[in-house]
Amino acid sequence: MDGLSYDLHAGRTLAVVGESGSGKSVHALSLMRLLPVPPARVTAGEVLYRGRDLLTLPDPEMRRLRGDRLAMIFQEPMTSLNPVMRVGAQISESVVLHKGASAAAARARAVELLRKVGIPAPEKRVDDYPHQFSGGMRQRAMIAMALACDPDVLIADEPTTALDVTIQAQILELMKSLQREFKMALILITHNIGVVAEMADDVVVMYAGRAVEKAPVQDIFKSPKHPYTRALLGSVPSIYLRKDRLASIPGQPPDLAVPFKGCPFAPRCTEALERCRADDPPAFPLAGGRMSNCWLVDSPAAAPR
Amino acid sequence: MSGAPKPLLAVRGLKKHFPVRGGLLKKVVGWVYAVDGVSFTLEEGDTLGLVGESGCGKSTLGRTLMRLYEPTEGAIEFQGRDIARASAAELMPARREMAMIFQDPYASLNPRMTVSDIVTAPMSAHGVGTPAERREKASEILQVVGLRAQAASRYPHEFSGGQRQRIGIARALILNPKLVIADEPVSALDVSIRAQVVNLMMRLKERFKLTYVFIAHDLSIVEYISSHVAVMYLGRVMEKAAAKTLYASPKHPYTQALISANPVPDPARRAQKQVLKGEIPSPMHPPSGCVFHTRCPLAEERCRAEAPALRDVDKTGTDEHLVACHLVKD
Repeated sequence: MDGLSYDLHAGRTLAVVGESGSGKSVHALSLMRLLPVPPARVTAGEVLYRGRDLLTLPDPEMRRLRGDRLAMIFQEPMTSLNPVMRVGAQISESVVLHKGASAAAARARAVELLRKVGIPAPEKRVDDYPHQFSGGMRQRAMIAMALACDPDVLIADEPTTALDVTIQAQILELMKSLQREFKMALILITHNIGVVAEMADDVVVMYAGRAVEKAPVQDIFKSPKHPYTRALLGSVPSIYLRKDRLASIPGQPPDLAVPFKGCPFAPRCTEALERCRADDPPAFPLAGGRMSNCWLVDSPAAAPR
Repeated sequence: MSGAPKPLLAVRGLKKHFPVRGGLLKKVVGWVYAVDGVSFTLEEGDTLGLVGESGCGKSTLGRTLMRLYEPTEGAIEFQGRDIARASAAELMPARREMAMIFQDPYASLNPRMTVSDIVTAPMSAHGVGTPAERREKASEILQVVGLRAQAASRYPHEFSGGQRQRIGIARALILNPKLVIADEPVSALDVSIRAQVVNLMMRLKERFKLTYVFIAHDLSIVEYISSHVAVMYLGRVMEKAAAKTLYASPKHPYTQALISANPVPDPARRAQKQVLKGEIPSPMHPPSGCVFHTRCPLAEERCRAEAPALRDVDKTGTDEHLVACHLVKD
């Protein structure tokens, strides 16, 4: 995350959007290693969870937080679950580890969590192996695992990307209701603009390894400030907002292995100025707690809209 | 539709069942009813969007239309001739007129072949042109799909996902086919690249007078590209209509749920969703009666007993609106 900071509060959802290679998953993993909880803040290399900087936290303490206060769910439920371990044991592992629960209590907790995430006949399914679960059920089991210790922050990395649309709707509804119930802060990493619109309170748009815009969800959709955000929204087909031609962004994202000068989006940007190709724009704070890394918002004359 | 031109493609009662083998002697222990009685017609110049969730049989249907799978039952009339049971030799002329674009641009291009050899493979297979003519045609078609002619001598790994999909499209178009079956051609691509490829496909359709069968699980992209849409569930067509009609007034409870489940890219429209309960049943053991009744919020006794026929409920007299549901009034 380059020059971008955000606060995340209990019960709120922050969506991190971007295309492949934009750095959104790397961001997630670094968060999990280092980061947040309800009042978490990443400011100039600081990750504050309830006022403590996770970056300077000793490893054993960080390990105590991870899986307990900070939990994560992954895109591929099949590769993230251990295929030779019963689902119930995987779910309750963190309860045993963090809360010192007895075997019987852990099992009871696993059954309770499976019921909570909507798995039918949880007393039976708790002894199943992951391959006996369907894709949607595996994702539910992963959510149950993440919720086992009532975390303060849940990081969900593309939680519904591998799922069918009706199952995706089920999982999103489930995550919303669990979030309300447990007052979790949710960091949702996704490439799906529709999912962002439905779930997020605040949005961070990423491109080429850095954040390019941050704003409350309504503002992102109503008045995107960064040309990349505008182009991204324009390229999304929608059943409800019919377009004659999809706006396509010419070219491809830059290869991050090759150093580049200036704004990483400039080569594809239709509004790029001379300056964009020379200097990398910093994050410009805007009204309403928004931010945009774009020279266009710096010079009012050139600012679009 | 009297006096209408003959449809380019007419499919009648098409079934494709896969045997499930088990035990020591690998005896057939069951069947997967992947495509189970599908009928539709496709006029020249139209684009039929085939949508449904995984396991609904849409890809199997696409491959069976190409005769990449042998149909179990039913007819596939292409340009008025049934190719469902045609011999390999009889099939050749029809195959020249049909082409397929695959979902995975990484798996569908041979990494050891040059782009030129990949895109001209259909010419070699049909014995069209001399090597020099093929090379010339390759550089021409690559430019048509927005790549540089120099791409011809390169290998697939040198291209990004979107560019590879362009190579796949070039290969499909090199023999000037009439019908192109595109199986999730943009599902593996990023949003901004997806728009590039979809727009390209629409331009090519105009330019070469193509007819598409566009298979996808993403309703919004299907609406965008299709003139007609068929919604599949467990091997059957639940509803088929002109794209505008289907999205504006879906009749089948499954279509309604599918549209409602699709996330809307507009936070002002966050609404209570109609969330379907349960999951798609196994196509090895499809439910009795209407295959959707186990998840249908409206299912009645009749739905469990009797499979509804696909029937026309159109009242405007303009185009067919086919629905397979007992509860939809004529």
